[in-house]
Amino acid sequence: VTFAKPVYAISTRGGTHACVKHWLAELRIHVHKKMNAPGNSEHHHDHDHTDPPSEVELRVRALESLLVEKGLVDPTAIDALIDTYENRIGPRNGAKVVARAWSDPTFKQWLLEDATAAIGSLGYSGRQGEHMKVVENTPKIHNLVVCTLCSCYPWPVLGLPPVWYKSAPYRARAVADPRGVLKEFGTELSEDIEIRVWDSTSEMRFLVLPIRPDGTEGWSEQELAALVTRNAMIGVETAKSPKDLGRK
Amino acid sequence: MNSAHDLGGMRDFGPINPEPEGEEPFFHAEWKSVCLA
Repeated sequence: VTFAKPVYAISTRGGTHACVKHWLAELRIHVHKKMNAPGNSEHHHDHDHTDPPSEVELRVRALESLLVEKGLVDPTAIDALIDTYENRIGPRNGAKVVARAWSDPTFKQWLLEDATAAIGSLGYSGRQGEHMKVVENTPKIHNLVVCTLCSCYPWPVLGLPPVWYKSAPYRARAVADPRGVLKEFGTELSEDIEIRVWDSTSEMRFLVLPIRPDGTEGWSEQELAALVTRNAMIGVETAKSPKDLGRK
Repeated sequence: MNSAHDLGGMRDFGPINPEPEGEEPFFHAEWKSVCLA
């Protein structure tokens, strides 16, 4: 749904202290009428839209327009922030960290001893990544990361958390039945592999260093990074194999 | 923390049903991106 200006205008009518519920209701009626107006040229739809937008959509639109109108928020800043998380901060950053650790033993040592500094040296630092710890998978130990309280996650290296990471079943069961959780991601580990679960906090964020797949001797960091999935760095999967990429 | 937030170890939330990595929309609704920003 594209909201036209009159919809925004109604949100401030009567001042910003007007009853929020009242203007949400008013907005909904207004939008509803607008959507159903005959010959509405702004209105191209292939779905049944007798339902008005959800309350949360309206609330977000109303708050955004208020903040913009009051000069508290620059709309280009909103776009820039969305672009940053959609296109610039994401799990490819973490994959580069892992590929470097697989290629450079000195870097790997540094990463395991002081992850925040080692990751920062590649240019990945900042919000939600101020205190990093890297946990290494070995043939005997598999690491899994969760945030049982909410959705704490290392943004500078992995971007924003996926929906399932924030979901109640993952958060509840990762600590009680990690093996069962891994199976839901198609990951079956031998019984003799110990699983360590790391519960993130508002300060400490974890990144799993997966096992470097066999058959990758001599690969460049760029090639190695293609094997490193986001899910492998959370610990619900292992790294891809050369075969998965269609290589021998 | 001992409250509704603390889900660790709780039961009966059903399956996780993760979307396969790479097939997830970045934001599942436009308002979510605006909210984050």
